[in-house]
Amino acid sequence: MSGVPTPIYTMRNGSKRFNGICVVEGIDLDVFPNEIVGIAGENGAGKSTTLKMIAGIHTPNAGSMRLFGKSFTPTSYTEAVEAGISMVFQEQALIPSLAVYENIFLSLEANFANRIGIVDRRAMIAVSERHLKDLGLDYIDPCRRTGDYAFHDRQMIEIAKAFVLAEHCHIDHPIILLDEPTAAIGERQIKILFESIRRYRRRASFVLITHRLVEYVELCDRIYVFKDGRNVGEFAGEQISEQSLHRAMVGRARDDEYFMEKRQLKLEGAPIAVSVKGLSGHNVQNVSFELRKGEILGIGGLVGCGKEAVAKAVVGFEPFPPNGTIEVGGEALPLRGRGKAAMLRGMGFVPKERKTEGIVPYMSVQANMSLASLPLVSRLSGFISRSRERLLAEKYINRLRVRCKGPAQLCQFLSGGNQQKVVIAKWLARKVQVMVLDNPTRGVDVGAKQEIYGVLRDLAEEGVAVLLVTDDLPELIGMSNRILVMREGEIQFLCNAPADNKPTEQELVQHMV
Amino acid sequence: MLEASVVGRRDSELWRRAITIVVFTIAIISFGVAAPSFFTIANIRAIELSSSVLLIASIGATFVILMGSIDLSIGAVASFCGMLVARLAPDLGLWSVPIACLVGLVFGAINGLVYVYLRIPSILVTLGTATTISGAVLFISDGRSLSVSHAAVIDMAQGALAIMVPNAVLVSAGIYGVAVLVGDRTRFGRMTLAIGSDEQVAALIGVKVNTIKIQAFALSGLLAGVAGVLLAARLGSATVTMGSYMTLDTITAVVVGGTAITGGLGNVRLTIIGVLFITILSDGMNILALPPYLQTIIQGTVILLAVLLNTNRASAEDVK
Amino acid sequence: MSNTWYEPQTTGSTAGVEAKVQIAQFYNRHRPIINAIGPLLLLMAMAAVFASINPRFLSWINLFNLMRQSSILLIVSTGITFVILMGALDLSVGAIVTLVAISSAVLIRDFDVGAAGIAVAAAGIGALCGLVNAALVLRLRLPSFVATLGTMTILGGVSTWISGGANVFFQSPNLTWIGSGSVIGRIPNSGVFALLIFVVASFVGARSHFGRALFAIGGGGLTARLSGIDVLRTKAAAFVVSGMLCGVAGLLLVARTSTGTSRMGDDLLLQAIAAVVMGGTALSGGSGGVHRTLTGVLVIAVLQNGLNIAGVHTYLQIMVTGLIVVLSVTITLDRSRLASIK
Repeated sequence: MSGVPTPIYTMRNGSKRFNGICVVEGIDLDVFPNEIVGIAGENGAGKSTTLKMIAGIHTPNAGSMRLFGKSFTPTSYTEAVEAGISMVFQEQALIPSLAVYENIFLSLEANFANRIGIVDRRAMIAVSERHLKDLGLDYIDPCRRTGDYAFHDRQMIEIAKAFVLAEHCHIDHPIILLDEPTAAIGERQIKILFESIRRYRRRASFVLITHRLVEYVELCDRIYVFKDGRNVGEFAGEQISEQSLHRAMVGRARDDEYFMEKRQLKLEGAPIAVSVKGLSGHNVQNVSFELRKGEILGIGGLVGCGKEAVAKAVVGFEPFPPNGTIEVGGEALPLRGRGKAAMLRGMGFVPKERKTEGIVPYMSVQANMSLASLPLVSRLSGFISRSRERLLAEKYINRLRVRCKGPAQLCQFLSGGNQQKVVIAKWLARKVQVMVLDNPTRGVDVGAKQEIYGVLRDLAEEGVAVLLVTDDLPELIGMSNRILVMREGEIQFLCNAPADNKPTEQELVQHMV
Repeated sequence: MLEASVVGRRDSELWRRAITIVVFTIAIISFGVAAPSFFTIANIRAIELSSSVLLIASIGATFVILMGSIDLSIGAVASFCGMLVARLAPDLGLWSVPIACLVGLVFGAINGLVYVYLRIPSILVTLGTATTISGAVLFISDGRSLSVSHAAVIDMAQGALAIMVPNAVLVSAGIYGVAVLVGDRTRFGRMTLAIGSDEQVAALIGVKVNTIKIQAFALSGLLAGVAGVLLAARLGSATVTMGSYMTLDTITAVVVGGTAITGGLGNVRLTIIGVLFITILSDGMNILALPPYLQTIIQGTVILLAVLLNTNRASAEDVK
Repeated sequence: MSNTWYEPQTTGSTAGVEAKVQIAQFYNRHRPIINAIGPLLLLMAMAAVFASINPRFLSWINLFNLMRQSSILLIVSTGITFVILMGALDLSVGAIVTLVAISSAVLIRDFDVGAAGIAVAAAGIGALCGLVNAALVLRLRLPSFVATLGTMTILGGVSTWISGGANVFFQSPNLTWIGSGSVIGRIPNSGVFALLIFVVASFVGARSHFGRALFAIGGGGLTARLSGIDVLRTKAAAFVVSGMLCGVAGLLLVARTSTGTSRMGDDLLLQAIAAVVMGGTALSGGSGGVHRTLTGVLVIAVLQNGLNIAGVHTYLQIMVTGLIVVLSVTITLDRSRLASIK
């Protein structure tokens, strides 16, 4: 071992264009042995593209890559895997109906096949078993169907797969790329994942992308910050902090202004908009609370604590906990057809899964915005008026500053933050009285996030009651008038969060776990 | 909670198998009671013969359906290949058999190539080729039936190497054995399943999606051809639409066997259950002399019931 | 982040890649125009070929004939477009047409039902079949592809049962007039009728709440539900509309020939699906439109009529039809929605 370690992977001047549009340009990136490297940046900064260039999924238009001292020009993901790089995909690249071991060796069966192409199942199972055990995953049965395991277990299977593949290709020190591994798992699973990564780093290097700055701070040895497809900073060791990263990413410091806490209303004696009594079922027990007009009520808790189920019950998004009553404006919502009834009482819902629950990707911005309020844009006979629809869309595109080519652009081409604004506009068009939001800023870049917070403040000032369910602690604390913390289906803790006296993250977390 | 859901799924799968087998047994027993001739050697032989033809065609269909695609040209290909054998046998003798099977392979490969490279949904491709091929059958036969006049060809289906077991059964058993091995233990088997489950993921992992798709359709065409040849040999003659029943029957057999019509879930091994089920059903209905329209209606109902039993159904709002 | 998170590998020279990129850019920029003009060019090319083979192709008599022939396909295709728009499939359309045709024939022959009664009965039987499909898909939650495959088989059996397996001849001057007569000049009634249905359906598809709901369901069912759209009712309505229009088509079909024959409508299935897809409505649902189906119908009608007029042998005609359907789908299919083609 020499004093100065040499990088096992380098990218010099990496550039990628799609249809002539430059996505990343002039990226320099090194990965050292046993290192955890982060790539931070806003949405669209080119993080994912860079990761996919490393993994051979995108071929760079310019630049050079070296791996283990040799020139590295993969033309497919398989080639990158064979060279010692594997990726844990956000959307998961596992086939649910195949057994775990079959997934691990998918596309490598040839190595276990005899002359006529019949594969040796026992050998495959044995190798998988050994690796799962080595990685401390002995609770995963290689013969069981992959789809039977929960999301976070499948993630671990993907990591295990990376090690198996590396060994298989005679690589002792693979590079494992993690593309937003924490986007869909809860705090507890995140903890387990991070512990595993720290344990596995003795045998591998990691490159990480995540939406949560705190995770970079917690995990990474070195962080590259990207902005608009370029490398704008490199942080290591002591330099790493949320503030410094954030400043480099967006070019402005993060402060209390972010959540516009000064605009938080004081609500003494405001009328009650929604009252939930004794909500039970679906792992939720006896949840009761009241939501006042102009109030932002935050619900926090670990994944699986039942906070989403509460939101679902309030807006009638089936399946939801069936027992208990929910009164809106003094009248209880029915059990059957609750979704429709909730809408008629002026409720809006911004769901968690934007692409499948929030927007219709193949419809235009204007059609998406008018989807919940068709009668408003129709003529007497009940037929949609294009001009009215367009006017409505233009109004909300301006008000929410939706970045799109125009009302006729298809929603699928909008960025995550702008899609979310379309979802919000859909409900604003109905003049909602109650707005329920489930993780409204998940996968949304920092700039759009703040704009969404601004809209929520506007709504509260107009007297709309806002129920905000979120996994993001700073958001929960910064936005809410009151905070409910749930644990294992029950309300564990309720506190006021006035602008001048916000609870700390530690205070809330102790009630969550 | 996870454990519970896993166990639940296993249980429901067992239940479905059990229900299929119970219904199956009840059907056999009731046919036997209602028609004494059901359990005669002649009838069992007839069942053996017709199920072996259908089994061969259904094996090809299984791989295609596992990929989430569909092959609606199986009937037309089978008719064409049967007709081709009848047409060529007088001149070429046994050589007409491999030629006809090869033509089936070519038809299947064309399906696959058009599907993959022209990027047209398989249901449209195979509907189109089915039309074209059935036109071609009319063309080579001039719209008439032909008898298969070559003894060796007929012997291929009707003769018996082993006592009591017609050759056609041996052929189909052999093909079935190989297919089960291919489905369970080879790259190709895994890949078809992977494609049916999630094509993009499969492509990413390094599955040669296009190649596998073409291979699966070519296999389906080849096996449809073999089935058509065997059918002609079994019947001793070829008619213009003799194979057309196979298109629907193969799909029914595959689904009754327990393979999801949406792909990604199932197994070649299971298909034999479906084949036996519908063969015995239609044979029994024939023996009971049910009118043809009633048989058709019952068959349609069986398709619906089988899917009802064997599909992991989404919520009503999500079904497409 | 886009839906397709992988990028298909383009191996080969950089120049080739650049060219491909340029073609792709050009296609993306002008896609609406290309998709609209493609089928029209195809139509004109076919018309030119047929007219050069036999000048009679462009005569008024033949054009009216063409209109009469395509009217039934147009009605069926219009109906099935509603179903395809929401991402489902109705394979029973041909069987419904046959069933309605045969049962209308039987009703007239044996029960002497009048023209008005028969029209109501035809639309009613069709709607009922659609309702059965809807129940199977929505109540029993079967994929529409298999559910309608099942009803297709069952309805085929029912048709044979009703007709007794024989052709059903009948005489009804009123019905013959509807099917083959003409009110406006020499323009055939059936053609006028079909166009009327098509125009109304196009408007409903593009502008009504029902049409918008179909697009939303085809593009994203959960979003539609969470936006307050009654997904079940909309889906059921689409199947019923499809069935009802098949009923109307079945009546027109049998009115033209005064004979109910078994399987008389079965060919319409392939043609209707092909016409819808050729028009540019994606089989995956959510994009396209009812109004676009007309081009697809015209391509098929011109093809059949032209082959007839050109005197091509019947067997060859069948072969060529299959080929050209595949070919024209190749040219006109809107592939932008087909991330993975099944």
